[in-house]
Order: sequence, then C-alpha cells, then structure tokens
Amino acid sequence: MKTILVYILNATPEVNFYGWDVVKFWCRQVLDRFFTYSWQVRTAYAIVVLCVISVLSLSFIFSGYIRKRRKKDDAYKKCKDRYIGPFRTILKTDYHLPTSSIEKICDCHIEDFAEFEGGIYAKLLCEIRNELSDVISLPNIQLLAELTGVRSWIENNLHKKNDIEISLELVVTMPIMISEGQLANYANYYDPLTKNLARQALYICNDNEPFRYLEEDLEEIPRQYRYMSLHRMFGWLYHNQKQMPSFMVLAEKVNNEKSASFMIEEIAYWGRESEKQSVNKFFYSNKIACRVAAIKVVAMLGKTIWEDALVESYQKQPEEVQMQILETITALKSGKQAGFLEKCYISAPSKTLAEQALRCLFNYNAEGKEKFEKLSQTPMSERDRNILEQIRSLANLEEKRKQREKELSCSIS
Amino acid sequence: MQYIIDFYGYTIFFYSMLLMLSYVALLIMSYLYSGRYMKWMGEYINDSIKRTSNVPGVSIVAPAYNEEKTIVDNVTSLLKQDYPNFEVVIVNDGSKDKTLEILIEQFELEEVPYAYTGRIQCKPFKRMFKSINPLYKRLVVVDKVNGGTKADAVNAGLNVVSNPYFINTDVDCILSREAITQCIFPILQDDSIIAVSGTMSMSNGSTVEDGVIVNSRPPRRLIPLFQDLEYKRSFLVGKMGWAYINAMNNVSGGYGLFSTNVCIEAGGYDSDSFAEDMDMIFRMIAYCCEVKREYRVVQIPFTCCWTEGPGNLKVLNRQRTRWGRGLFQHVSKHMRLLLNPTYKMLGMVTFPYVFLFEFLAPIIEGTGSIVLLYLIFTGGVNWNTFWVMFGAIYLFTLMISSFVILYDYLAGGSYTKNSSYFRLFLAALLEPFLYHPLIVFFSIKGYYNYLTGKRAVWGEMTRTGAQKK
Repeated sequence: MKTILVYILNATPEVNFYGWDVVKFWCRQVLDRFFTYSWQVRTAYAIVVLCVISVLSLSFIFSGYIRKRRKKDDAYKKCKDRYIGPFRTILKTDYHLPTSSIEKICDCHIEDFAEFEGGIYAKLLCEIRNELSDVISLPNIQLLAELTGVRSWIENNLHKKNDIEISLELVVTMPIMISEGQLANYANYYDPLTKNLARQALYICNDNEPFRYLEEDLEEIPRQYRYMSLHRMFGWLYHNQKQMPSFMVLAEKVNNEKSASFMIEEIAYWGRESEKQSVNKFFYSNKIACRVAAIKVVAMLGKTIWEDALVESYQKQPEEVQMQILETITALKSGKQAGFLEKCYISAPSKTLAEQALRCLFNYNAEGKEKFEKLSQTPMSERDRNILEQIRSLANLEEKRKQREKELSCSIS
Repeated sequence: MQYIIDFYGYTIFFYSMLLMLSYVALLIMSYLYSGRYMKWMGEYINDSIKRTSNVPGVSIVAPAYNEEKTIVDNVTSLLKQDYPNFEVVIVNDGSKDKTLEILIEQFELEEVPYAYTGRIQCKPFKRMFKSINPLYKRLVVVDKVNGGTKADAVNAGLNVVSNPYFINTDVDCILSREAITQCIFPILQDDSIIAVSGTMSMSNGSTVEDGVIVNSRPPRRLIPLFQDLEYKRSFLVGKMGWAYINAMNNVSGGYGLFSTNVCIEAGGYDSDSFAEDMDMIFRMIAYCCEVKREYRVVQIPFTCCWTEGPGNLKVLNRQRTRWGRGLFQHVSKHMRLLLNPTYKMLGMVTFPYVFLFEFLAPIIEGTGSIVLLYLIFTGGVNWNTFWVMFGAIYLFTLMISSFVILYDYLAGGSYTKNSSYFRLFLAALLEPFLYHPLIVFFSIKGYYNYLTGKRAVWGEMTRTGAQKK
C-alpha cells in the first residue's frame, strides 16, 4: 500500500494509467486525501466517505423499491380489472364448480392464469374474501387457488421461507388448504405470532388430529389477540361442520385461568348441547374468572333454569362474581327477581356493587323501575342521588335515540 | 487560552462521535423493530380486530378551547374511526367563543347528569353532554372551568372516561381511520404495554375529504416541510429504536394511546408542566418501576395522525421556545431518576440520553458557534479540517434522513405520490442550514426564559387548515 501511495504522491502528469490502475489511482486519491492529517480529521473523513456511499446506495435501493412496487401495482390493477367480477361470482356460488365452468365464467383457458404470479391472485382473492365476509364457497376457493397458482405460491414461500407471515395469513384468512408438512415446520417457530398462525392453519387444514397443539396454546401467556383469532377460527370450523375441540374438557384441564374462562365462554357460541347443559358446574370453580365466565354463558344462552341457583349463590360469591350475577339476572329478565335486585342494592357492601344493582333494577322490568323510583324518594347521599339521576337519564337518552333512529329511517325511506 | 480551545475541541469531537454512534445504534434497532410491524399489520389482523366486539374499549380525549371555526369538522373526523369499541370525549375547556353551543346544535347534544368523581385533580367539572342522535352515540362532551393548559383539560377527560385505554390528542388533529386499530394491536399482543406512540405527520399541504386525509402530500412551505422531516426522523428512527430496548423517552402529546389506570395511578397530567407529554410518560414509567409492575412503551411505524405545523417563524419561535422551557423544567424536575437503577432503562439509559443529547445539545451547539466565530476572527481556523468536520456532520444527517425516507416508504408511505419523497430529500439537503440553527436558537431562548422566570405564553396557533376537497 505504501508503495502505491508513494507512487501516487510522486505521480506527474506524464504518467499514464491503464485499466484497473485508473480505478485504483482514483480510489487512492479519495481514500488517502487526508492521510497526513491527525486521526480526528481522518475519522471525520472516513465518516464523509461512508455517508456518501450510504446515501448513494440508499437512493439506488429506494428507486429499485419504487420501480418494483409500481410494477406490482400495475400488474395487480390489470389482474383486478380482468378477474374481480368472475372471481366474485365463483366464490359466491354455493355449489362445487367444475374447471370448465370456471374457464367459462372467467372467459379464458386455464393456461391464461399463468399471466400473473400467484401473489397477485392471492391479493385479489383476499380482497374479495374481505368484501364477501364469511359467505364464500369453500370448495370453489380451493379450486381457484389451485388453478391460479396461489396454493403453490404459498407452499413455495413456506418452503423457501419467503413472506412466511403473509402466506400463513392467507391460509388462515381464505382459508386455503395446503399440505400439513409445510405447516408443521412452523408449528414450533421461534416467533410467537408465526407459531400461533401456523398452528391455527394446522387446526384448519388437518382433519385427523387438528387440536394437537391447542392445550399447549392455551397454557401459554394469555394474549387477547390470540383469543380473538381462536374465537374467529372456532366460528369458521363450526360453520363449515368441521371437527370442534372439547371446550368443557379443556376448560377443566387448562391451568391458565384466563384461557379456561375463554373456553367456557366459547361454549355459549359453539359448544355441544351436552356442554351447554353442564356449564353450572363452574359456578363454584376454584378459578374466579371461570365462575364469571360460566355465569356470563348462562345469560348468553338465556338459561332461566339456573336463575335460582345463581340467586342462592350470590351471598357466597366475591364481588367480581356478584357483579356478573346481577348482569345475568337482568339479561334473563324472568320477571321474578326485582325484589332480589332491590335487596342487593340495599345490602351492597361497596359503592360499585350498589351502582350496578341500581342500574340492573332500573333496566329489569316495570316492577324494577317502580322499586327504583321508590328508592329515589328515600333519603340518600348526594353521590347516590347523582348515580340515580345518571341511570335514569341514560335510559331516557336511549329511548330518544331509538325514536331518532326511527325518524331517520323514515326520512330515508 | 489555546489549552481551553483545544480541550473544548476534543470535547465537541467526542460528543459528536458519541451522538453519531447512538444514531447508528438507533437506526439498527429501529430497523429490527419496525420490521416486525411491517410484516404483521396485514389485512388479516386489521380484519380480525374490526370484526371482534370484545376488543378493549378506547376513549379519544381531545380538549377544545375556542375552536368554533373548526370544531364540527374536527369532531366528525375523530368519530370516523373503524375500531368497534371507542368513544370520543371532547373537553370544552371553558371556551369563550361559541364552541360549546355549536357542538350542542350540530351533534344534537343533551345535558345528562353525571356522578363525577375527581380521580385526578383539575379545574371544576360543570356538566356533561351526550347526543340523542344514534349517529353520534360515541360522542361525550364535558364542559369545565378553564384551566389554562391542555394537561388540566385532559385530566378532566380522564375523570370521565369509561375505557381501559385512552388516546390523548388535539382536537384539530386528523386521525387515520385505522389509528386505534393499529395502536391497539401491540396491546392485544402484550398486556404489559402501558403506552403506544403512533407516527405523526404534517397536514399542511394534504387534502381532507369528509374528515379523512385523502391526498397526503408534504407541506409546500419550508418550515412545516422541515418539521415533517424532523418528525419522521424522531418517530421512525429515534422512538422506534428506543422502543426496541423498552427505553422510550416520550409519547407525543399530539397522538398517543395510554393505559387509563396507570396514567391515573401515576397522578395524571401535570398542569404546571410545559412538556406535559414527556413528564407524563416519565412518571408512568417511574410509577411502574416503583410498584414493580411490568411495563413496555412502544412505537408503531404507521402514520396515525396528521397535525398542522407552524406555518411561519413567529409561531415556530413560540412553539420551540415553549418546548425548550419545558425540557429544562422536565430535566430539573426529574433529576432524581438520573442514573438511578431503581428506574431501570429510564434511569440508566433514557434519562442520561435525554440529558446529554437533547438537553445539552443546544448549549454545546450554541457555544460551538460562538467559539467558531471567535476562531474565524482570530484566524485560528484550519479550513481543511473545518470542511471535513462540517462535511462529516452534514452528510451523516443527510444519511439518517435518507434512511428515514426509505423507512417511511417501506412502512406503507405517508404520501400518496412517490415524487413527494424527492421533495422531502431536498428538504433534508437544506435543513441543516436553514432550519436547525433556528431550532438551536429557540431552544436556548426557552432555557433562558425558564431560568429568568419569564412568564410563559401558550399563544394561539394560527391555523390555515388542511385543504378540503
């Protein structure tokens, strides 16, 4: 290096460079510009050189991204213009379409689908899926995914570890059945979101032993989002007559309190009749959250047969459960419990519980309202009177809103 | 004298190097962190959140003071969220104009009795209004005695919110329709999150239709354009990077989602503070550390909120002088946290960084400029060295800005047209010469005002509003 430097420093205009020497010469000219200066200046100069290279590279990368995105957007627009109508028709058809019908609806041959890559079709299918909500035809989407290459695009991505998240999202959202082998690799992935999504895809795609990971899933640190996506998936399985998990067994087995209570609540939506009949066994569960969930399920199912049991258990329960009992009794509206609600208000140990009891009493029935008005005549603290006024005015406001809604709908029609 | 100048020179050199290194570290951390969100915020997640009814409730708290000209559009915009469970709480902070009357008339409001509990201190609550029109059932208007600060009004809003999370924003901010959905996603993933900061942009130059930004463009005027770039740098590199190691130093007062309980337990907003947003997040974190509660404060890379930036020097001066004063007040108030291991990352990383590179920076830069002038007059400048040093700092800033522009584009882009990014790049070329010296000057002025106890003036922001379609 020193030799080159001496050579460069002593270079005169008469010296001629050729080929790589020209490049080397200019590189050296730039890099050794402040060679004789102090280390601080050389450090600053190094920063200058690095920053110039970075800014140029970034500009290059940025223009590359813009070009790539523009190309994708153009292809998507073209694909959408051509296929959105036919695809929508196919996905809305409630019987299994043969390939020939798909060709006819799309007005093309199967080979013509090769014009666009699988990712473009995937985006389009996803858009239609979101627009049509849950009414899409399951067998037709499988066939369409096969013909357009979406399925092989997803499998290829999972195999090569490209766009894993988007691919798994597609499997779960559409849903598109893919080979279990591709999913199994991700069922124990390091990233929790990817792992959960892969497991969810397995629950959908696997017909033999779909819920192999569910118990383990439920034992993990509870995440609200996980419960939301599980709820959505159970809904999909239920509506497509797929195998459902045993909610009751899992609720008893799982140690995680939040997960157990989630499974109890799911019984109200997708549980078997036998499971719905035995929810009352959680009224005295060791886990408080499970008691609350079971009592909530009673309200959701409208099971008045357990009303007496709830009333009886009221005094034995902690405040959190008592609040739920009051809500459930109000939701059941059997018409027999106005006196119970009044008693609950009078004997409430805390302000929150008293407020809840008062609100429930007002919303219960005519008798409840009457008792509420009687209570309002009795002497009470300023705060309690305010609460009373608040409950009454909110109910009035609701009435006015209903009235206004009617007026609005009349004026529209 | 020479010794002093040499010593100062070395100090400045090492300070600059350390600052550059910290920026490189933040750049890497922000890249790692933003990648997570960019991968995940797809259709599926948005769709899942929108379709679910049992998502946590969120209250948008927006104080309004003398906003009669824009209040209807602003509230309409806030009500446009696509999140299934939210309410909008407008706090009328004793407006002297017809803000409240207009709200009552336009949104068909009716006074409702409310059992008000002052969980945190603020000026007296007067009354509450709700709409009889089902279209505006999510709207709650609180009328209170004027407290003179935004903090006081937000505290009043906090006393009436009924949800576990709230968004602190300004009534004139335009939120994207997905603003809550995007901010709630990290919370649905991790219960320990106590605050989420969303990225903000300037609305000057953008077009608004029906309360929503439809054509997002960079501001035409230079000052808001520079501020837009500054915001992007702060959110996409600074805060994203700090969020990676759970050492966020601030959640902007313009847009941020907070845990209601933690905020109330930490004492709510401080009405006397001029940097109430930074003060609040410091106190929330300090509270969590003291009671040994797990916490995380995160930043998301998506633009959730558009705000109108100062359009001229006068307003910029007022804003930045107030921020400078606020920073000084904040640093002196929280000195006990500095290098205190009880406060984990806040005490050991965040606060030392704020002190060294945010609080001291204007002082060091200001004195540097004076020393440079002295050396120029005395002929003590080696111009070759000067240009190399200057080039290093200038190009480094340009590089960071270029990264930010690329990040923004990859995160979905704040702008509708690609050419807008070129404009932003041009702003990055000019910013160190035209904008940065002003910011340094205003900050020092703020410090001076704080030290001399000069009366602080909030002043009125002259708004031209985003263009309407």
